[in-house]
Amino acid sequence: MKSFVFLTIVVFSLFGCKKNKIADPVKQPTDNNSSELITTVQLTFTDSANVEPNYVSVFRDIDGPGGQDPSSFDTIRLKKGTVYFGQISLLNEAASPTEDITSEVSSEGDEHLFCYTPNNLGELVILRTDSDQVYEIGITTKWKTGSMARTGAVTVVLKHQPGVKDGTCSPGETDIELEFVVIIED
Amino acid sequence: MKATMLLLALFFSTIVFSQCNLTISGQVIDIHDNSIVEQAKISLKGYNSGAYSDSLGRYSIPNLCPGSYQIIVSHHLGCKPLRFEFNLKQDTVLNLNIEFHLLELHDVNADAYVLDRSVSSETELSVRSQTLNAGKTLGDMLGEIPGISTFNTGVSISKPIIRGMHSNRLILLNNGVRQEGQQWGGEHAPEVDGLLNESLSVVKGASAVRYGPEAFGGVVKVSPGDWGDQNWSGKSSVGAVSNGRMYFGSTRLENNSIRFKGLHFRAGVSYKKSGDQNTPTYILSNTGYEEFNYFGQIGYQKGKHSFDAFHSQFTTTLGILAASHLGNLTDLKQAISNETPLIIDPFTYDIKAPSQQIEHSISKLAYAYIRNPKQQIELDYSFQFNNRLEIDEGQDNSQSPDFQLNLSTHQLNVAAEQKFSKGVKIEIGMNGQYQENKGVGRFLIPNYVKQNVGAFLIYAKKWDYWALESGVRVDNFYLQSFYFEEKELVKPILTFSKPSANLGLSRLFGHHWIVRSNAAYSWRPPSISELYSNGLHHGAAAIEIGDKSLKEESVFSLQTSGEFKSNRLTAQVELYQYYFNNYIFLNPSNEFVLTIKGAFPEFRFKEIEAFYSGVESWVNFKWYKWLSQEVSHSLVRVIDLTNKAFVVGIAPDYLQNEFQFTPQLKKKNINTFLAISNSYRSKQNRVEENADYALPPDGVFLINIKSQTSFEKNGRTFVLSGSVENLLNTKYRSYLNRYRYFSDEIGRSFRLNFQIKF
Repeated sequence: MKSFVFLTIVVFSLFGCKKNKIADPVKQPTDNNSSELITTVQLTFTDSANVEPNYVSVFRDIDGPGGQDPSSFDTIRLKKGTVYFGQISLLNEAASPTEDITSEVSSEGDEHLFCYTPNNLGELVILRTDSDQVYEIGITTKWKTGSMARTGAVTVVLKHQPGVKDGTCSPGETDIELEFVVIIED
Repeated sequence: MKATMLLLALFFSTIVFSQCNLTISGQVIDIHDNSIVEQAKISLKGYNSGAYSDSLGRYSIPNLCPGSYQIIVSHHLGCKPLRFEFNLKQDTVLNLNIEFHLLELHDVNADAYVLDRSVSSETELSVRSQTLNAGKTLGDMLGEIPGISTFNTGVSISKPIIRGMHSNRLILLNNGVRQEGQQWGGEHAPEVDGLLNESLSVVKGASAVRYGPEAFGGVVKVSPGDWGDQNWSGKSSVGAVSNGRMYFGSTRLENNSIRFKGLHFRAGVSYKKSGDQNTPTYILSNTGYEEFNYFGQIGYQKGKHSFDAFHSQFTTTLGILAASHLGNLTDLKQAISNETPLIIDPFTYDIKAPSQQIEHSISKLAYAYIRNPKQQIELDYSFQFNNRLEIDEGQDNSQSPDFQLNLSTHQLNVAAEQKFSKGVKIEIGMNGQYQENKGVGRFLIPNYVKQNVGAFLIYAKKWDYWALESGVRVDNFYLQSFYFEEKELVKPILTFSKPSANLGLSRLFGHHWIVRSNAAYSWRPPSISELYSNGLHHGAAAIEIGDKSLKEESVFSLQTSGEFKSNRLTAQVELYQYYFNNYIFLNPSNEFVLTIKGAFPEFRFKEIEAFYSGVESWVNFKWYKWLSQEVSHSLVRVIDLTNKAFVVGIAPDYLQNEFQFTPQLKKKNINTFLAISNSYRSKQNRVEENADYALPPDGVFLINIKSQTSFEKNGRTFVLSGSVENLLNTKYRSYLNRYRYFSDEIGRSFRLNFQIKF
C-alpha cells in the first residue's frame, strides 16, 4: 500500500510542476534597456548676480553603457571671479515621454550624494546647498570661480548609499561618474 | 545419443524451469593467481536477490526466473563493481574469473583492484570522499577528484574545471540528462545537488561522442546511483560546518517491492543553510546561502522491458559578497587597493541584495527494451526548467528582480546497442533538443530558440590485450534570437552543422599496466553570450561585446595515459594536448568606453588560435598495512597563438600530498581512517601585463585534516566524519576565485557529519 501512496506523490510532482513565471512570449521580448536608465546629465549654471548669461552643459548617451558613443559631452565654460548657482538634472531620454530621474534622487535624498571634485581649477570652490535633513545631497550647488583664467576638469559623481550615507563620497555604489572639462574664461 | 539426451534435457528444462526456481551458482576466482575470492557480492541489478561468496569462493542465488539479468560483482572494500549481462535459461554454474588482485590484510579484510579496460577512464568520487565533503557545493565536491579544479565566485558558487576548461566546454549529465542551465557565466554554478546524488564521476577528455560534441574537457556524471537490492534501504545524514555556521541534512529512502517484483522506487530530500563566511580576519558580508532539493524516482522492470520515471528539483538562494558589487571601474580599483572589503557587517544568516535565486527542475521518462543480452534499445524524454533571478543592490524586493531568465529545455534521446561475436559492439543513437530562453529586466542575453539534432555511431572491439573504441557524430544547431537593435526588434537566425569523431585505444601490459590513447576532433557552436552580449558586465566592471559573425569553435585533441595497479602501488599519469583553430575568447581590446558611470575597459569576443597542453599524475603507495601516501599533481599551459600571449584565468600548478592512516582494529565492524594532507598551489605567473585588474595572488601552502569512523551493526552502518580545512588559518587568495579582487579566502573551518545507512 505504501508504495502506491508514494507513486501518487511523484506523479503529481512530475506533472504539476511548473507554472511559467514570465508571461512574455519568447519571440516578443520587451525593450527593457530604456527603463531605469540615466541617459542624460544636464548641468545648468545661473550667475548669482544676474550679469552673465545662463550656461548649460550636457552629457547624453541615449543607448546606455556600451553600444553607440555618447552623443554629447559639453565643456563647462564659466567666467572668472563669479558665483554661479548650479543645478544638476538627470534624465532618461530613451523613455518616451522623457523621465526626470532627479526627482527620484531627491525623494531618496538620504540614500544619494553628489560629489564634485575640481582638478587643476585653482581657487574654484563648489558647495552643495541642499540637504536631506542630516547630510547634503548636491542637486543644487554654488560654484565660486577664482580670479584667474584656467582650464581643468570637474568630476561629478553620484553615489547610491542606502543605509551607509555618512556625508562622504566613499561608501556605496557609483551610479554616475563623469569628468567634465571646465574652462574658466577671462 | 548423448547429444540427443542433452538436447532433450535442455528442452525439458526450459519447460519445467519457467517457474522461477532456477539457480545461478559458482565460484569466484582471481584470474591473476587462481586464488579464491571470498566475500565478493554477486547481485542481480533490479532484483532483490544476491549472495556473498563464502570462504571457498562459492556462491549460490536460488529461485530465479528465466530471463536476462545484469549481474554485478562487487567487493565490500569498494572497488568499482564489475557488470555484465547474462541470459538465464537453466540452472547455471557461473564461475566468475575476475581480475581481482587480493592482498590479505587481516583474516577477512581484503583489498582488491581492477583495471578498467575502457579507452577513456572514468574517475569516481569515492564514498569516503563524499561523506567527508558532505555539504559542499557540487563543484567543490568534484574538486576532490585528482585533476579537477574549481572556478569560484565566493564559497557558494563553484564550477568544475577539467584540463583548464569549464562552462561551455564541459558536459554535465544529471541522471543521464544533459544539464542545461545558464552555463555561460563564471557566476553561474551547475544547479545540481551534491548531497543526494550518490554517484559523482568524471570522464576526462574529448571522447564523449555519445552525449554531444561540446565535451572538450570531459563529461561530469551525477546520479542517484544504482538501485540497491534490499527491500528497504536508506541513508540519513546531518552535519555542520563552523565557517558560516552552516548546517545541513539529507535523507533518502529506497524500496524494492516484494509484492510487485521488479518495482522499485526511491526519494530523497536535502537542506542546507549557511550564514556569512569568514576569512581568518574578517567576515565576508552577505555570503550566506540556502539550498533545498528533492528527487523521486520509480523504476519498473518486467521481462525485457524496463521503465523509469524521475523528477528532481533544486532551489537555492545565495548572497553575493556585498563588497563585490560595484558601480564602476573607480569603485573596483578602490576595492582592489583596499586590504579588506569595503563593507564588513556582523555575522548574519540573512541574505540581502545583491543576491541570486535559482530553481532547476528535471523530469525524465525512460524506457529500455532489452531483447537479449546482445541487443537493447533505450529511449528517454526529459524536460528541464531553469529559473534564475538576480537582485541587485538597492532592490531589496525579490518581487522585482533586476533581471530574470527562464530556460526551458526538452530533450529526446534514442540509442540502440548490438553486440557481436569477437568482442564487437556497435551503438547508434540520436539526440534531439529544443530550448527556449526568456529574459525579463536588464538585458544580458537575448531571448532565443535553439534546436539541436545529433546522430552518432560508436564501434567498439575488445581483444585479449587491446581494446578499441571509435565514434562519429553529426550535429546540427539552429539558433534564432530576438532582441532590440536601435528600437527595432530583430530576429537573426544562425545555423551550425559539423561532424565530430574520436578514436581511442587501450592496451594491457601484463597484470599491472594499462595504456590508453585517444584522438578526437570536436566542436561547439558559439554560445548566446559570445554572440550577442552587449553592455556592461556588472561585477566584472567591463564592457563585453559579442560578435554575431563568430564561427563555431573547433578543436583537435590528443591524450595518452598510463595506469599502474598492484597491491601496494596505484599510479596514473595523463598527458594531453588540444589545438583550437577557432577558440572563442573574451579578448581585451585595450580601449576604454565612456559611459555615464565612467570609463570602462572594453572586451570583445574574438576567435583566436589556442593551444592547451598539460600533465596530471596521481600516485598512491601503501607503506604499511596502516599507512599509505597519496600524491597528486596537475599542470596546464595555455597559449594564445594568434597574439603570442598567455590566456587569463588558467589554473596554476597544483601539488598535493596526503598521508592516510587506517589503524587495524580488532573489532571488525569498526573502520577508522585519518588523513593529513598538505597542498601547494603556485602563483600563476603566466599572465600578460594589464590583462587583469590585479596581479595573480601568491602561491599558497595549506594543511587539511580529515577523519572518519564507521561502525556496522545489524545491517546498519553509522559513519562519523570530521575534518579541518585550512588548519593553520592561512590568509590567502585564490587565482581562480572571482572574489580575489575584494577579499581573502575563507579561514579555518571545522566540518562534522553523521550518517546512518540502513
